[in-house]
Amino acid sequence: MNFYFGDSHSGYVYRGVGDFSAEFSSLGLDFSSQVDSVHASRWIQSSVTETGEEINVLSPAFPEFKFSISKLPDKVNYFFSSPFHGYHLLKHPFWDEYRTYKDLNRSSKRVVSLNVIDEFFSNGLQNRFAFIKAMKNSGKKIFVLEPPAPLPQTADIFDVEPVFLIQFNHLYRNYVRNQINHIGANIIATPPHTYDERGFTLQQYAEPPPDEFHGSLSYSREILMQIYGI
Amino acid sequence: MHPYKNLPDRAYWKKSISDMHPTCISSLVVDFPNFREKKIATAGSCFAQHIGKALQRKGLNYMDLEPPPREISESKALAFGYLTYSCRYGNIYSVGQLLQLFLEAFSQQKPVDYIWERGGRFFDAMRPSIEPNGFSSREEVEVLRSEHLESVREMFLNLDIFVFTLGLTEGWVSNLDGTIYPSAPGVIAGVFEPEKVSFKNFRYREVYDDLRRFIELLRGVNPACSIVLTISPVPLVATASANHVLVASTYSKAVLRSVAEDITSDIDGVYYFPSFEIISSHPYRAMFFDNNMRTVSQAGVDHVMKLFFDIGEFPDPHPDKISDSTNVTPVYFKGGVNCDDELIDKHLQADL
Repeated sequence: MNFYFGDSHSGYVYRGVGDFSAEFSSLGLDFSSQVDSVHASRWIQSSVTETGEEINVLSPAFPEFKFSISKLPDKVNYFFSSPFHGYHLLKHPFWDEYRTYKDLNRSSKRVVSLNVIDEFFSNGLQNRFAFIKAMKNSGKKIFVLEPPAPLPQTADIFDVEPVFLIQFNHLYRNYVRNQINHIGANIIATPPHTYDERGFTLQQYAEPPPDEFHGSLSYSREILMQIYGI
Repeated sequence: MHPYKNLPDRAYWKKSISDMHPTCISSLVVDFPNFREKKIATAGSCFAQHIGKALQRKGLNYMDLEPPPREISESKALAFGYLTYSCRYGNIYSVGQLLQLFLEAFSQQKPVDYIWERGGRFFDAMRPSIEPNGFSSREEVEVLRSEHLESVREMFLNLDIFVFTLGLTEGWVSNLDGTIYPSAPGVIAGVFEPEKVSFKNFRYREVYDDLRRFIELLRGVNPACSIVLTISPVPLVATASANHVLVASTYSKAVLRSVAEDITSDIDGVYYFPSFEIISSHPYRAMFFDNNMRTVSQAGVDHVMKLFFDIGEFPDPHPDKISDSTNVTPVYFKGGVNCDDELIDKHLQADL
């Protein structure tokens, strides 16, 4: 059995699967009318607390959204999205001052090492990985859904150079992947055939503008094929 | 009448030492530059980090040409070699190292073998401790070093006072081109291959000549600058000289002390501050050393800096009122110092 949590990137899986409510209800969670609003902007601020043998997840997404990881069944695949959500760091003033060694055209900015950029990501994400860690530590099998590569329209929407967007995406994903691998969770990776040689999601796998982030139903099918192959 | 009559108290051991509590010994320096409104840069062995920190806390016009991004924590910044000196060059233990840094910054010299590898990561051998996990590629080392050297050049061109702490005479030198490394290959990164590097214990004449040449080159690009020399009171953590480490350490400090004295006498605008004497000399009864009789306690550092600020002309401490020069970053931090040579100690402990 599969359970899905997280942000809008589990939303398109949701669209592919259909109604999650039965599965949520079996966990004692009622998201039947709210699943679309379990969004990253609030999920990423979720925190994990330990009280005795219970590990509780608290999320500002819903004031009442609190459940105990330790009470979740074990022989289940848990799919979680949101750790990859990083566009709040794309427009960060950090990039007005700093660049990587590969970004030679932005020479008015100071070069910092990739290690320092990882520290910047680390500070920007703070407790993002707490839920995954807690799930992993309690013996659950957790898979993290990787969102599609940047959409063709994302650079325009965010008003950044396409080259920078791709570079950011590469650095950021590497950082998040390393963190998830370090925790020991699994990643449902973005299929390489869904993006072009520059690193942008191919049109057929992208939601049309003004959507900034999301994969199309075709992308959902690609992800679901991986999930069903597990 | 004789020449020892009517001298100031500081000239008499009884008056200035025997009759004084060690912490009341004063007037150790006769001539010192005016630090008011001056742009100050620091470099040297790890004891120099204390001086840099104290200058910043004092609210002086301390140059930091490679400040850390605000987005990373202070502890991480220190681990990455930020907030340590005026540029991110790490510890400069020998005078020869300082000279070659200057020459490299002004494109007069380039080390042949300066990228070392460990476990698929790459290290700048001239400052191996600034990236604890190393860089991702040789190219990353090269680009960051090039940018670093630009900052070093800017620092030398614009500083008013350069405070340099002489640390050691022992070092490791490339057999290819004579490049002096801050640590032996194998300690932080790289592999120790005796055919590629040699141990060298610099002698008085070499240290004197290197320091004199450095000052002449610096004055060539920045004629008005002053230089304050200090000597680290921290003994060697280990010696490769075959001598007992105490004997080796004494030799090292004696050479550095002699060079500092002679350079101060020979070149105008060069000053000496006796941090070595304040910590290491017997009237202080080793009271400022930690139990290992090597590292200096915070009380010792505080006392050294108190005397430093007592003798010179410094502005009143106004931590919020610092130059608006873009090259000067107000940074206040606490915490310990990063010493590459202590890694030798760690290796030795691991080998036991």
